[in-house]
Amino acid sequence: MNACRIESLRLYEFRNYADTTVEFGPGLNVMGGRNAQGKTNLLEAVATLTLSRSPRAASSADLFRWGSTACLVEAHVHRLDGPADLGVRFTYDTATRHVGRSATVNGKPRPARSLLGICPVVLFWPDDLLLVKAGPEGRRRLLDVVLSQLDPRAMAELHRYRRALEQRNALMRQLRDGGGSLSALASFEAEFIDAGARVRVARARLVQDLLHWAVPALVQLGGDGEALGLNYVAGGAVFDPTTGDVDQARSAISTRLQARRAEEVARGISLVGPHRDDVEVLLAGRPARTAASQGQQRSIVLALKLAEVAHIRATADVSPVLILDDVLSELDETRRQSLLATVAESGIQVLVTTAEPAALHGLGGTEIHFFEVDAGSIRPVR
Amino acid sequence: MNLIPVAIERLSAEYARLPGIGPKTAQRLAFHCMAAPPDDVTRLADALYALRGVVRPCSQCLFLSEADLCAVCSNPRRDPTQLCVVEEALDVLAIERSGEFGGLYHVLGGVLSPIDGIGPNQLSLDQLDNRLGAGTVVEVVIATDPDVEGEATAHYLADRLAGRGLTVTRLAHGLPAGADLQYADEVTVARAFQGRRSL
Repeated sequence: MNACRIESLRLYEFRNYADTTVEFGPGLNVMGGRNAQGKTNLLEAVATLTLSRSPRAASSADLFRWGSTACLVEAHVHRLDGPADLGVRFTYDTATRHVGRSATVNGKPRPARSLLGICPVVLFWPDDLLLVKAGPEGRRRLLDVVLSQLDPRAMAELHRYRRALEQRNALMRQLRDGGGSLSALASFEAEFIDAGARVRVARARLVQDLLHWAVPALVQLGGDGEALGLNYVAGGAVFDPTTGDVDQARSAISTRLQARRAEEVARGISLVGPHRDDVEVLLAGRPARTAASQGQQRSIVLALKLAEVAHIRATADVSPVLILDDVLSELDETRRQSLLATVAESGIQVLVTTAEPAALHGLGGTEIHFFEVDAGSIRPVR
Repeated sequence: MNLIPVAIERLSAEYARLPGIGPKTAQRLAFHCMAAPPDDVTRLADALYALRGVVRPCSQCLFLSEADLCAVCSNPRRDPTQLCVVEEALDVLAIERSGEFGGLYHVLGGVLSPIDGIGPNQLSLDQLDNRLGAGTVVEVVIATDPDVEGEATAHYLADRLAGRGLTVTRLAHGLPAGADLQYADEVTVARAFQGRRSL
């Protein structure tokens, strides 16, 4: 199997790290240590490098170590088709307060987007435990992070859609305040509708793929897999990608735009489009957010994360690195064991932080490497 | 204590405002001006000073010119029935290098971008209307960039020009010439497929 793994990682002036290099092993890598020593920052660095931006920071300016104006994350990645060296650097211009970003692949400058997909990752932060119950934003983000790593075209459409949305919103505000040009609005809507329709179809297809893998994963976790349902909900109605295509999505967005134009202009924001879509999670045909117990919801979240892993393996032909931030301690013994068993079986690399590494000692069948994180330094422990 | 004399600081700051020049390069350029032979520096200063006095937008197409009409507009061999609409003056140079286009240009002076407060009124659309009103132009080629703002501007122009009996065309998106299909990125290949034509 083509397992992708991070062999070494360097953090320079990143968050609370001055300059640190760590070498990870295959299988399970457990980062222990007291709170606020930099465990989560280490995982954030991996995510920032592999996704070209931090999925956690509100602004890239937050990534710099205190007083620093340049930071860097580098990794040596092992792939069956040959090693790859990835690097991302952020620079802060104190005069303009602008954060610049540059990326390298194998030492050569490349557009930042080319970092994505070389070492795919599946992220699991503590917030994700509420994925079923919380608002739609997290569920959309899950889809977008997977799509961006697997499909450069979908990533380009997402980017185009966000830009068209920003421009459209700016125009809406101008129209609300009595300025702006209605004919310019129509011009941006052509882009908005086309990119939006393509995003919608790509996401809806991904939801179907994830369901395919989440059902057996939920069974493995002791849940009722067959009862699980996932629907992509667009504009208040289920969008089925087996019957709907880009043309249909385009005309649906266009119709809704017509219907809500007056309301949008009055409020000065875009109320229609994939930035308002959702993934409906069902258990036995009922919304899991109300019908499922907290334990069942956690099992569903775990199943979704395992489905991400399985889908990336099947589609990209390379296994992702699984990143678990302080999640294991939140799970009961049964779920923890089945998660780790599944992971061990698949042979993928896992980077995990925990306040209680001792709980993971003696875990059978898995190669485990322990690390101690202390005040921005990290060292292996035996 | 400030080590660097104020005059050099001032020059560096001005250089740093130029596109593509960061603070380090700006400082290097400023120090270079100090070390270079005085004649070189005088020539640079003269060239900068003369630029704004001598060069102005062409009164017809808004490309850069030293006379009332630019070199393209005043060339009688150019075909006045074809008009190519571009975002900025540099785009004219790119198309001229191709040698493919023998008509006239119109420089919009930007693209629609509500975020930056640029709407139709900030572009040279009145001048464009006036030129088209003369009735000579048969085809308008829209050559804005293939990004969100460029596409929206192209849509806007197409709507605005509809019903005037003009042929409105848009530059094709596609594979770079001389490049191998296998080295093109997915997005470019997809666009090339969408824009394929029958032979």
